[in-house]
Amino acid sequence: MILNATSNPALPHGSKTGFTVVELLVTVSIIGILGSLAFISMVGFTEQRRLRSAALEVIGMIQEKRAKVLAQPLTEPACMSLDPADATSPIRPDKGMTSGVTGLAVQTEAGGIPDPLCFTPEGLVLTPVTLVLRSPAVVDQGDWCVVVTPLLAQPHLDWRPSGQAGCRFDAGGGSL
Amino acid sequence: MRRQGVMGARIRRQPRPWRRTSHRTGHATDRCHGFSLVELIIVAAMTAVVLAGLGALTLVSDVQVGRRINSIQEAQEQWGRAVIFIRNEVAEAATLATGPLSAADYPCNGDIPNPVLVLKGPNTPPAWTIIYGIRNRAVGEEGLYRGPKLLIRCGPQPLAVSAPPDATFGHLDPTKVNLMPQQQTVLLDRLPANTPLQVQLLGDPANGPVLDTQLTITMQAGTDSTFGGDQPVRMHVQRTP
Repeated sequence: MILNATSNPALPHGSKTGFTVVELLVTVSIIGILGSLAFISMVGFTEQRRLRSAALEVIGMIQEKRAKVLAQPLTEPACMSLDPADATSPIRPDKGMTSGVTGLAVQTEAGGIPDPLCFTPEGLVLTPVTLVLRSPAVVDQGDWCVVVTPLLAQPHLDWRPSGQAGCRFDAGGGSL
Repeated sequence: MRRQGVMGARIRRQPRPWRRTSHRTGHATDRCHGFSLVELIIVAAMTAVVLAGLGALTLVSDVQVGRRINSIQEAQEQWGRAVIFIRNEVAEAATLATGPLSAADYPCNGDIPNPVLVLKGPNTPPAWTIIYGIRNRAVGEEGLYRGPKLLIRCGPQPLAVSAPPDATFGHLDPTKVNLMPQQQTVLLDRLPANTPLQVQLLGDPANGPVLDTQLTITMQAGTDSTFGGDQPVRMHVQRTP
């Protein structure tokens, strides 16, 4: 089967000047493969961005909780649950998490359920807290971490590459 | 083989402007003079690579700018918190001093910081001392702290629960401060190598307790952004009668 690529009337009928079906199939296949690779890469990139957005949301929630603690004349420590399975935890999709990470897991560095984060009435944190946010879609790339250090309770983002135990600020996170 | 027209006349193909031609002597040939499929694919691939590269560079640049802004904002907020925290503890002290310190004067573990600001509590027991100072980032801390210098606090751990509202003190309850464990805490990282902390006592210890000091804490967010160090922060001991 021949497909003419030209309509030059000067050429006799049946002249083999067009692309063959095989050529077109090869071309379409190459484009399809490259497009699929780009799409898969883009999906991973997007999911990483969502996971990072979720970590930033958690940081915002910690900041908000600290501000509320400072605004109220409490004499007892004020704690917030960091376990998404806890109904009182703000880290739940039904409580304002908008990043849309599918299957978001929030763990300690060792993989356990994180303890509540407690502020003193002055907004201090006495023990360090590290949260690891994981997404099943990009678990092979790495995880984002939210680290809250004593005493100032200033949370910041870290990155834990796949297969490593600890969160480090200089671990990269790619170009994210 | 020559191409024949309808009347048998010889037809010479006229080259089109967009066609690559291989005419040499004016004789017609049987070659197809358009671009081959391979050529088209190569051109398309090169174009795609160039466009993808430009797009990726733009995207990465935008992301890096965003990260840099976040980093500066976070560092500025951390600097502000540290200044307020130190100021609150200075207000609870009875007198201020500076270093250098000997090993016997430093109750925490690790290297002795330098320079330092020493806060001493009232003479009425229990006595307490808090030391702020600069130490080098240790080997193995590269992934934990940014910058070559760290601002540390050595002193009793703050109380988890504040004193009653009618008290004049915060997390340093003078009735319990001696019970709290001595703790060295990193308050700030991202400090530059040169003069991250300058302590100037406003007074002479020979003439009585020093109640005022000026601190200059310089932070560095990134390679070319330094802030906090352009103006000293004045701190004052709050004397209670």
